[in-house]
Amino acid sequence: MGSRSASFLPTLSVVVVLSVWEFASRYLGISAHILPAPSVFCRSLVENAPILTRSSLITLQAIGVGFGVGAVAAIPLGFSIGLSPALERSLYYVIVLLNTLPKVALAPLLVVWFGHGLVSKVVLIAIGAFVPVLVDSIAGFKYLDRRLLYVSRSAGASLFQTFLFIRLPAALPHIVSGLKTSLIIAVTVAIVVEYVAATDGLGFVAMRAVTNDDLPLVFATITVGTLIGFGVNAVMSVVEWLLLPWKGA
Amino acid sequence: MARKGLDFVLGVCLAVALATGSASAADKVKFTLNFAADPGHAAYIYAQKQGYYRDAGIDLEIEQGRGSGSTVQLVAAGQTDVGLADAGVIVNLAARGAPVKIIGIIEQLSSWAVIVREDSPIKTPKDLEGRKLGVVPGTAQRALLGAMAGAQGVDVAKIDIVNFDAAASLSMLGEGRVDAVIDVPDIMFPRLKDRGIPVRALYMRDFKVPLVSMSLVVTEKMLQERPDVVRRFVAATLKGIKATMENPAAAVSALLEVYPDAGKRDAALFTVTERAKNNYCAPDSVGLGLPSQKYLDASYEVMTKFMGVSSDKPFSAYFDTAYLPNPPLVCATK
Repeated sequence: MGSRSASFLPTLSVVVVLSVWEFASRYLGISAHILPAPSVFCRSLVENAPILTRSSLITLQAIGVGFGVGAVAAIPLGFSIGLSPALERSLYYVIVLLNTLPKVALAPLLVVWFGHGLVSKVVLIAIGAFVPVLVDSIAGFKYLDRRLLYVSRSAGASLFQTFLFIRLPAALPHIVSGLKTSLIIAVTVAIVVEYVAATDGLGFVAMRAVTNDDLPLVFATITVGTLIGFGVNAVMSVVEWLLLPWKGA
Repeated sequence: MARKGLDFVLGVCLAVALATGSASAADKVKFTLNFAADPGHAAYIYAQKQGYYRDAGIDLEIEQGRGSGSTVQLVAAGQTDVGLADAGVIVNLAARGAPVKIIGIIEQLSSWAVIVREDSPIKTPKDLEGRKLGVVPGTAQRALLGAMAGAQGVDVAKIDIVNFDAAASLSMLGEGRVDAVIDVPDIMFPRLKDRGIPVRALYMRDFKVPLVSMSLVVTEKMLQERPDVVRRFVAATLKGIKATMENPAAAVSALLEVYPDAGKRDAALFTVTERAKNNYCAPDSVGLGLPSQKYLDASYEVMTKFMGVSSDKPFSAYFDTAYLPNPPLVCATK
């Protein structure tokens, strides 16, 4: 009963919200130019399926590459900083700066430097994805139970063996947590940067729909963007389950 | 017989080689629009579809843009070869050191207007006093209002100016939250018609605000290194403009074939027809791409007085007419 209600209640709440929305749009005279009913933007979702699919693939490519670049750069750096207090002190302000940087404001500059297209998006998404993975990687590699190191050293483990069997497994939960956070940030940054400065992708479709006064398409795009968020989160949960089976994710 | 067959094969080979050679010899040009493709860009897409650029030996790539400022910066940074941007924006950036020049003024008349509901008591700019007028901050709208007010003796301080985002323009006017907005009627009218809101426009150009608008821009480096390409590009583009003025429906078809999301056909046809009738040739225009000196001077005065453009240099410092067709391509309609 418990597990059944656990899956039933969220579905019910979504159905209730959509029903109230549909009713309000139809019977309270709310214009489709202000708030289109779910049935209206679902129709737009179907009618615009080809362009939404094509644009989603473009956005997903940018997310994949940008997130990959950010994560690949962050994890080794996190390892180095986690093991070197001097490096941590040296780079502290750089990391804080990167974290507080208003990233979307960089978009027009990146367009001038790299043009419209994948590179500008990837750079911005990578910057957005980099910091959470870095911070969690530092924490993961830094805060290790010292007794584990004593044991491995007394057992004669090499540095590589210590890394592979002690440090990495201990840091993995933190790293995966950082990856999950940064993946959602990557989705948001991708769509926002496409809305603001790109000439393709899901955000660009939303921008075009706004300028064409096509609100159903705007909502259809938001729906697809949300589904992408859910999708990548689900993929990351599978990765987490594979990497950390003991967590039972 | 065998000799004839050999000649035929050699002939075919030569023809293929020549065709391939001429195709590979075409000059590659990247052309960035001022914004995402919309009906205002139909002429360029049509010119490409008609093969005007190919015939001019140009292998053209058209890229959508994200605002005139961004396009001019892309041109200045060498990310693109030619840009389409608002003349005021180009001059402003050039005056601040961007190494760019206008090589042709495509829209000699701007489309900006004060848009009011059909039944509005606002008949002249003076009637705006005491009314709510919606403008988008950071755009040319506020400057143009100043120019129109100056020319028509309107006290801007007496107008209740409401700032909002460009996307809200339709809703603000449609729901009566403002009495008027400053926008582009050839884009706005079909959308307002869709909402069942009858409107009319007081065009800035009819109230002593002459203003050149969309123009072609390149770097000074490109003018030095590829002058012939620039000349051929301008000629092909103006040929496309002329063809669009003569057949707006065909231009719309070309646009929607390449960019199906550029708008609905009826609305796009309205925009393209209006632009063809009203925007490409100012009164006394020398030809497509080149307004009269008197009109240019008047436009520049609006830019320097109301749009923050420095008046240190004459307009000719920013506009090189040497790349326009000679003799000029005369305006086809109107």
